[in-house]
Amino acid sequence: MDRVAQASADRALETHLDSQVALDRFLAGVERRALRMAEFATGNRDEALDIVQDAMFVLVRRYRDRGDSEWGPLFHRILQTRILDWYRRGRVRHKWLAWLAPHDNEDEDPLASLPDAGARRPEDLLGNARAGEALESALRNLPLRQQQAFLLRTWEGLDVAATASAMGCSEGSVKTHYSRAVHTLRDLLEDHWP
Amino acid sequence: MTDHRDKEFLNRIRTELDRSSGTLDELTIARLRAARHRALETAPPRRRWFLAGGIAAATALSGVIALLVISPATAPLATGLDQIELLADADPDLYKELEFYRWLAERQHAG
Repeated sequence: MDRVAQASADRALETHLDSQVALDRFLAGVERRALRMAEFATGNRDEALDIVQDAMFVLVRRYRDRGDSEWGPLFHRILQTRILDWYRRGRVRHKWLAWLAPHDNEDEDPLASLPDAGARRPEDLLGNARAGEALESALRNLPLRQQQAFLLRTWEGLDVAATASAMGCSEGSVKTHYSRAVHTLRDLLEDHWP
Repeated sequence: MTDHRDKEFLNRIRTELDRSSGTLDELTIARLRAARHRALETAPPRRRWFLAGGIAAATALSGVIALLVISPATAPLATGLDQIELLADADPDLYKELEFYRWLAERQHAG
């Protein structure tokens, strides 16, 4: 290898390692909250871990060369898209299962009997003494888009525009979802946090 | 609900969420760390890295071709036994690297 090529390779390697360190720091800072967000949506830790890992892979593979100021919005966009994909796949699967399952009562809505991965019964929620568990139950019971808007705005601290970008929807939709989420959470949690 | 109570309510939620993510069990934390490391380790090097490697490979190849052209035709060729000795003397790490490059090429081809 001649000197020019060697120097170029050394510089590239140095930049590559710097980027690795910065990415590692960024992902370490966001991974726990990302996991909890995915867990609220799926109701399952293993599924949530898969989603977060997938989002990490995509960010590193496609966007490692972007500046670290761009990684946050990009990561949340990828994560929320993966959560939405998971949710849609589940709905399709549930529809097929419901269609294939034998029906004793044709008048009964088959979808109504399908278990919701994240939902808990209201009486469980009301009987729950711990505010943290009540919050978790309430968040899991929110419709997905409300849940996403609320967590991105309140927990991640994204503004309306960044939240809309992460969710792939309009700013107006974000405001609507967020407002409804806050209203629902207030109603569900007022016994715990008056 | 007043603005003040709204803020207080949202602050309590934020605090509770922070607490829940800060008290994850060790196994989950280890799995997250492993996922992060896997993502970082399997990331392809930058294009410039490939470019530098390409330049180096092209330079080396042109050197080999020049040597073959310039060297006398009567130069003894390595026998099969010589090649075996060369392989035996080579650094075992080289083969680990070769495995890695083959795996990387297969992944890129598959992707």
